[in-house]
Amino acid sequence: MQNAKGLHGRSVLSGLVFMVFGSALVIGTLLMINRLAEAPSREAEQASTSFAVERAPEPPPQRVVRREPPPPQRSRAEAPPMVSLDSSLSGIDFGIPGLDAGDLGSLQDQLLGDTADVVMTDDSVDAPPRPVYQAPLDYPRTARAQGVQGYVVLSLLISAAGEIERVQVLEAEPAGIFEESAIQGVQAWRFEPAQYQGRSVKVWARQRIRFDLS
Amino acid sequence: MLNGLINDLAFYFDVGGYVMPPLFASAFILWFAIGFRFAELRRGSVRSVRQLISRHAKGQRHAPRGLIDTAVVLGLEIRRREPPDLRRWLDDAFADYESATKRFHTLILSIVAVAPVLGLLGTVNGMIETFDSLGDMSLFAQSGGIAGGISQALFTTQMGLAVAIPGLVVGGLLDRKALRLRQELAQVKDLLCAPQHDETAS
Repeated sequence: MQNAKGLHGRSVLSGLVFMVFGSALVIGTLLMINRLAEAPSREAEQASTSFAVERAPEPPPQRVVRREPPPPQRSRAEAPPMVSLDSSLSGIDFGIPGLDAGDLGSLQDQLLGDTADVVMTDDSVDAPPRPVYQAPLDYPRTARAQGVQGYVVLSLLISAAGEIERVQVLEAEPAGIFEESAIQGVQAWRFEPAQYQGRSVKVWARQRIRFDLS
Repeated sequence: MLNGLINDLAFYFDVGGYVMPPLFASAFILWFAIGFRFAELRRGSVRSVRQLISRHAKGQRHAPRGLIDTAVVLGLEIRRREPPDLRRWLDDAFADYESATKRFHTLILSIVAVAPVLGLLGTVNGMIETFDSLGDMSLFAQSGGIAGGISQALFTTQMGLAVAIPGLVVGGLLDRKALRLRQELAQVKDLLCAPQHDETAS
């Protein structure tokens, strides 16, 4: 029996040794595995950041496209309050009768900021409309003969599909010569619709058209 | 390095939630049981049972080093006393060894079975946390949120499996060894009960 007890003591000792080494093995392996699992994910993160870097080169082409818009932007800076005030007021005006009528559905739409029926200006949208197709304009024959140069500033109502719905003449210099051909020519233009909160919206946009004999 | 490992360990302990302490405890207990069992299941001499009995009977004795050795020595002692019902005496005396071969068998089995289930419990808990955070809209909270819940979910399962798998393998090996030892104990009994001239003649 003494022998048996000696064996017993040895078993306890061996149990303790196994406990230390076995647990260390299991937990150590676990930690190692998780380290291995973490490593690729860090690389993946780096890869994703490199993607972000790749996106940066995209803007230059946009700048190339926007080389045409700058004149309108300048002109927009000249007299925007008039247009934006006007059109935004008209937008609100259209909205309020729905409220007054007590139509609950439309009321909710208004409260949720449904801008489907609101006409915006190119100042208030996230991305202004961009021309994708500009048909050449006819230079009025009499003006060409007399060597008259000038410009026309138009206000275009561009629908959510990018088509011209209405054209108004805001300014013409000299008056009465170029308006007709400008309005007719612009009708055929197509635009990439303006974006507001990720949706295409109807928008009033100003377009300045120059008539040069160059 | 070591510091990093300890940090990681503390992090996982923290992330895993309330199933981690039991899982760690069961890992320790499991490995203690395995070590204990491993020592208990030492056979001793590599000779076959028949050779062992004949050598011991002739008096060529070594200090017994394992279970079968001690069983043979004890069995021969009992036979020398020539009790009236030898097999019953042997059964009685060997009962200790038989139980020694079974000691911690059930414990190892239970821990191996319970550890993954505990991990699963932690997983479910983590999922509940995730869906709670979906409900609260606190999706990206610093502590918890979706990421916390999912990492808890996955880590506890991983821990449960990591505890269970080595236990399953080593436990299976030990069980086979125990079975063989029990068969050999039975063989020792048979040989000791057999008419004596069988071994003395050889």
